[in-house]
Amino acid sequence: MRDDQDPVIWRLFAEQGQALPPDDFTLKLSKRMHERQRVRRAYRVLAIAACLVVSILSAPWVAQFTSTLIELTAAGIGTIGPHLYWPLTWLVVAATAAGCSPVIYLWRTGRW
Amino acid sequence: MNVRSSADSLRSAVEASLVALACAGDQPAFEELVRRRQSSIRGLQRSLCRDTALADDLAQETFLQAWIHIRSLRAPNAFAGWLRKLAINSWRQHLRRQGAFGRLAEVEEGYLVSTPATTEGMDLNSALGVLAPSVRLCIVLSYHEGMSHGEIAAATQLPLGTVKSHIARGTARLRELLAAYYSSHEQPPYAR
Repeated sequence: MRDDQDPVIWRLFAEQGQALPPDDFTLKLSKRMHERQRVRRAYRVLAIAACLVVSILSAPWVAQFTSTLIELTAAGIGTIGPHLYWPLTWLVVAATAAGCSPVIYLWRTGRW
Repeated sequence: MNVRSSADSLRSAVEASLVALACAGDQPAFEELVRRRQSSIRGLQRSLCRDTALADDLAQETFLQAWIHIRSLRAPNAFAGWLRKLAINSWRQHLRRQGAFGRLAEVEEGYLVSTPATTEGMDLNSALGVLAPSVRLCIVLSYHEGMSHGEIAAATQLPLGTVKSHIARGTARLRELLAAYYSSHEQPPYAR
């Protein structure tokens, strides 16, 4: 007990503060944790399915847009000189790596 | 990291190691932390809300939040304090939910103090119920948890001066309500 505390109130709190047995508290908590994990897993599956549908539906437009972009970039770099084709290769590699980075991050951190 | 520990080694492990394992997603390690800390958190919630079933529900919510956010805990040694903060927050959220149907502002400002019809034979739990929530919080953290004024201010995010005045005001009010214990040495009539 500290000096600034009232001894009677302190004693009442101390008498009340008996250890509580875990009983079914931990069991109920485990059930809630499992239930939450199950719901999260279901949401994750739904989110992946939704992403797949969206990506399938938008694939033609994305492919067209990307090819146009690469063509324009290649044409632009091509006009500068043939020795600059290597940077274009690196550009494609870097873009691919950047696209995969979220997946790599989730996999490496175990949050998948 | 994929570490799975046996129940025996978990029982004898120090808390910081259990927290590190739980941060890596080890559920048995977290369950061992729950087993060790449940009494303290349930006791804190019981003192704050004075309803055994509700207190256990809020304690479960506290541990569930801890499991969800344990990766954000930087220092394993700070687990106890962090868990206490989560418990305080879950109790405050419960008050806010109640406040949506009542007088939230008054509850938050600490002005809502019920007046008992009689103080005769009042036990500690009933007396705590008379205090305004923020005053009760400061009193419980000071007496039940043994925290200093500075620690309470940090945990509750209340100004230090407010904490001091809440504790002084709350202690004076409890002295009035529990006057019977000051005049006699009888055992308190704990009902719950």
